[in-house]
Amino acid sequence: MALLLLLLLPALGAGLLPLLPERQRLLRRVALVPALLQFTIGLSQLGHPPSELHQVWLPRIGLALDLGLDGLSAPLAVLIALIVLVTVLATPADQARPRLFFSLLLATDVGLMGAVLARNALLFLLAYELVLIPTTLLLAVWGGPRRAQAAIQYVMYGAASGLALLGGVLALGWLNGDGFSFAFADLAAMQLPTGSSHWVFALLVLSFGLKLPVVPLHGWQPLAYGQASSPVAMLLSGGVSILGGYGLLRFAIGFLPDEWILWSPWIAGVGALTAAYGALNAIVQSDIRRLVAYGSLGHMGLLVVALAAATPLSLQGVVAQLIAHGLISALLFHLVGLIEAKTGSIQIPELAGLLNPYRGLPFTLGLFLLALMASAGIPGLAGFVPEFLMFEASWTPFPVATLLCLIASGFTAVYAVRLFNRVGFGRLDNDRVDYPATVWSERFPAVLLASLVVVGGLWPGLLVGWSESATTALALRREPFTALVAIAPSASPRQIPS
Amino acid sequence: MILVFATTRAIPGPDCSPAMTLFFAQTAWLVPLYPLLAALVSLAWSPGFIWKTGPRPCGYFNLTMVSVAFAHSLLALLAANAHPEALPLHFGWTWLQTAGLSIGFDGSITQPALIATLFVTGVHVLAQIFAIGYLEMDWGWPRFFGSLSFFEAGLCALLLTDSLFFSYVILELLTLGTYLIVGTWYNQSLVVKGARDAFLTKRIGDLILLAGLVAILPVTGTWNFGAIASWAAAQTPGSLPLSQELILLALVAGPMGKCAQIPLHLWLDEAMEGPLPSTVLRNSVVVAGGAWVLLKLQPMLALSPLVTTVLVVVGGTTALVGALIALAQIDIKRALSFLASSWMGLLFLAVGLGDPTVAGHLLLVYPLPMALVLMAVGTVIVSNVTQDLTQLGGLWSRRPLVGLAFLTGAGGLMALPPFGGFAAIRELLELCSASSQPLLLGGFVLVTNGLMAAGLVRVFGLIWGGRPSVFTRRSAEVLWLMVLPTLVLMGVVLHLPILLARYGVFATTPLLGWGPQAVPLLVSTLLGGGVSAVFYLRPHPLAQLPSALGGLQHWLAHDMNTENFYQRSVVALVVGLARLSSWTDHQLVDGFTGATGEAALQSARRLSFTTSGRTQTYTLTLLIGVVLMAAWLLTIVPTTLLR
Repeated sequence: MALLLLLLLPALGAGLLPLLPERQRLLRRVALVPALLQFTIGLSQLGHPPSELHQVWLPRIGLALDLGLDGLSAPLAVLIALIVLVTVLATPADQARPRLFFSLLLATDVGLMGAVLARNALLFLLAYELVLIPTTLLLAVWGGPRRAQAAIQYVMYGAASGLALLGGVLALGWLNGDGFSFAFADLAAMQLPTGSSHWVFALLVLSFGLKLPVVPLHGWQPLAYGQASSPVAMLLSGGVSILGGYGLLRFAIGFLPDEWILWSPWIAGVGALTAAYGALNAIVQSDIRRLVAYGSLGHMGLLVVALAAATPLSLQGVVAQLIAHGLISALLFHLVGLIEAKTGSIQIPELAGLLNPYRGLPFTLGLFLLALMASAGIPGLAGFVPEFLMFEASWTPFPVATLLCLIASGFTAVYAVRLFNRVGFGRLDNDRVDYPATVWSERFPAVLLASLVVVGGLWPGLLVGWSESATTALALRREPFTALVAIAPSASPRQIPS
Repeated sequence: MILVFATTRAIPGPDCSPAMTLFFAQTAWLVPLYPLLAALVSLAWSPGFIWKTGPRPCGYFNLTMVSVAFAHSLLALLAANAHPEALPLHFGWTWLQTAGLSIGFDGSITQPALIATLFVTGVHVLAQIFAIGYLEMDWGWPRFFGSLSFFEAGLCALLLTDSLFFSYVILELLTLGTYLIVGTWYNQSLVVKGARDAFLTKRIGDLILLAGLVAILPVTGTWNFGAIASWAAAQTPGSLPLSQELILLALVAGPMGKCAQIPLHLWLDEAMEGPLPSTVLRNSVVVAGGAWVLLKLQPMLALSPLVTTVLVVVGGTTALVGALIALAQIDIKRALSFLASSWMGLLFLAVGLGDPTVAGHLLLVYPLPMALVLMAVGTVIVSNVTQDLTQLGGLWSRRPLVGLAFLTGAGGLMALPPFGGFAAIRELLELCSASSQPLLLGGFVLVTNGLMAAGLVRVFGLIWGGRPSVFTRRSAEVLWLMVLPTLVLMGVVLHLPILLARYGVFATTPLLGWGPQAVPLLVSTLLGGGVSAVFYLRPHPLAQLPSALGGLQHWLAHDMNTENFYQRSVVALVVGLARLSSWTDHQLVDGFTGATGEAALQSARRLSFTTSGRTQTYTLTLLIGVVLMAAWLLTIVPTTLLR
């Protein structure tokens, strides 16, 4: 029942909202109801044993309404519900065309939730594709002056990702021994012929690599995050980016473990390159939103290195990173939106001294510093826990890539301090003084996210406490600190050799 | 764990019940929590919350909490000495347990840790009282006092933790604390630059430490200092492979950054842009925090000849060069900050030579005199509105008491009997004499000591000697809130040799710490201090270097152009790489994406003109697509499946 509710509540909301009058406050409240209920239901499912729901849909093509919640899906479902909730709360009071906006927001929620709950590859594909449509519209209708171009690029990359996934999923189902099946359980147990598995693996990695994204498949991301309105950027970075990491974990590692082990050094290399590339690009940005976008790209690179390591600890780090990154990037984009709303600019050279307690935006900038430091991996905040776990677990299998990620982490500190020094510190420009103060309705989403960032840093159980059994089952290598032994490609993927 | 401060006699306990006193030692883990609470409560004075009371109650609350921490530390130390058999006390809790990795905050309450905690909390109480006077007219009290308390909480936790992991965590948090505290007056451009450089330089050290921390776990299987020492005891010195030696070298980077050792020394100098009370703490107890971690790592570091050699080279170089640079500074705080680097260099030298006891003694005698000289000059800076040494002078007739305080502190920071500094440096000299390079290392120590003495006497001469200048002629009286803690600390520093002798840290033969090599050491102090006194106590033509040597002075005054070096090497490399990747993104990735996007749009437009409306055309297009897809699938589907 909980599984169905998680999916149906936002779908109902998305269907109901277009029927209501175009009144912002009413629409926001109506949108909040399914988001809040979904979040509550998700929370209640945390820590429970795995549950599944099987419902035949179109058996001829292998499509079934197979849903499931396990240690991997449950925390991500809660995160998605939270990000949607916060996005609704963070939507400005003067949002244009609120009916369409909230409706698309909940439609995205349906797609995201469907993807993490799906236990059937075709169903996952449907949900994955469903996300693309409302998010493209959210990007194209609301956003900066270059939003049309951003939306075109986003949809092109999204379509390429979807096509690659379509090819990969169809091949997975059809090459699956006698008969065809798209059920996760069948896919996990299959053995593909070597030649075919290379192609299928390449398609899946391409698809999720485009979605994460990784270098050089990231062309859509800086422009999309940079041009999106703040609530949409929160949704894209906090919610939609989950799909890439989750997909790699579920499909590439889960269904093609031999291929993963075989290619993992290359994947780790791409991850390290992405980490360094994203952080380096962030250093030279003058637009805060683009800076945050490149920072997010760098964090995804680190996540890919940890995925490549595929030890129980590194995969725990991956789940923690998905959660922490979702919280931190959503917080950052919300605060950037507030800065833009109050000062009229997010160009670094045009801002200074915003920490000023009387005439600046001290509250916003105080939380902005916290979010930047969390992003830079300062201990005590949520960003540190996954980074540390991933460094520790990736060190032995991929020392060079991990070292590169550590250096990238240093670059993260450079752009964080550079940004805050210029925007928060310094003398307030007398031509731009007396900014309007933030009100509590604007502060609340930031306070909520910031609290979770702090709690996650002090109590890492919030980030890693739900997924251990699921990630251990998916792991392909042993822990580095208990003598790592890589599984030979021919060995069974589910047994860790002693 | 190693005993950092070797003492031979226990301090007598107070006249109260044993159970009661032991309670304070058992609960010593509360000490970091008092200032942490104060730091958290300070957030309530953020703009928009508490504003009707003004910022001062926040400062008083912080002072109260750090005083409680001091009182608890004192009671805990007395309790520990009354029950030496009960030590060490252990405490801990699990912070993270996942996928076979368990990280716990394990702590040990030992006598050295309690002594160090007493020093940290004591100096903090005095510094916060001093700060109330120093920042009398400032509006940033909550942020400043909150940051000071945060620092104290971090330092006390660092002293009590037995985990390398949490030592790293705390050092990172102190790096963030440094950024905030140096940036207190953030609307000044030099402050902003100082805060940035302090953060980034220390973060470099922290990240290298993190790399070492990550890499050492598969080797030792533990991050607990005690277990690491046991692991080290089971290894044969000099038998570690190069990869493990490099890991140990990485572990040294954290303390190197915190102790401002070359090449990570830039931050301490730049951090002088922060308010002076924070400088008092930073130069005395915060840099000592890095040294504390180094001492805990010493059993492991001693296994590697490479690491010990690096420690000796880095420590010796920093000691000598730091003292030289200090001599060329015209900013009072900077002159004293380089002396902090120099003293820590001596400590690194002792660790490199493999004697943690000597290093521990150097650590024990350092913080209080350093805090004292900084407080003394702080009163001068406030009352004379300048910290430029060339603009001061003649203050002996106006500020003799703080002059005496400065001299007392200076005496403790050079080899001058009966102060503790003499005994500690003499032990180091003796250690150098027993090393494989007695002349070279011994010479280093003697010259460094002479230069430190010269530097301190120079600062004294330029402030209190000579004739009054425009700035000092009407030197205003300073608030008692600054003078009182300075004089109290002077009393403590004066009593320190007595305490050290009484509790057997150093032997009194006949002077405190007298022994082999005492005479050449004393001569080096007298020579360095004497020459400096001749030059600087009265205006002397030779005090200005001959023009031929002016370049040298300029070079030293600008910290050997270290900042330029960093700008042209590390910063230029990072900026270059960043610009290159940005260019790549614009030209290649954006270019490709933009071009394909444009091509898609153009294609769509052109296609729109080709539509004829005939169904046959659409059907043909669909058919071609289906055929192409079928052909592709046939190539990848195994033939066995098709049969």
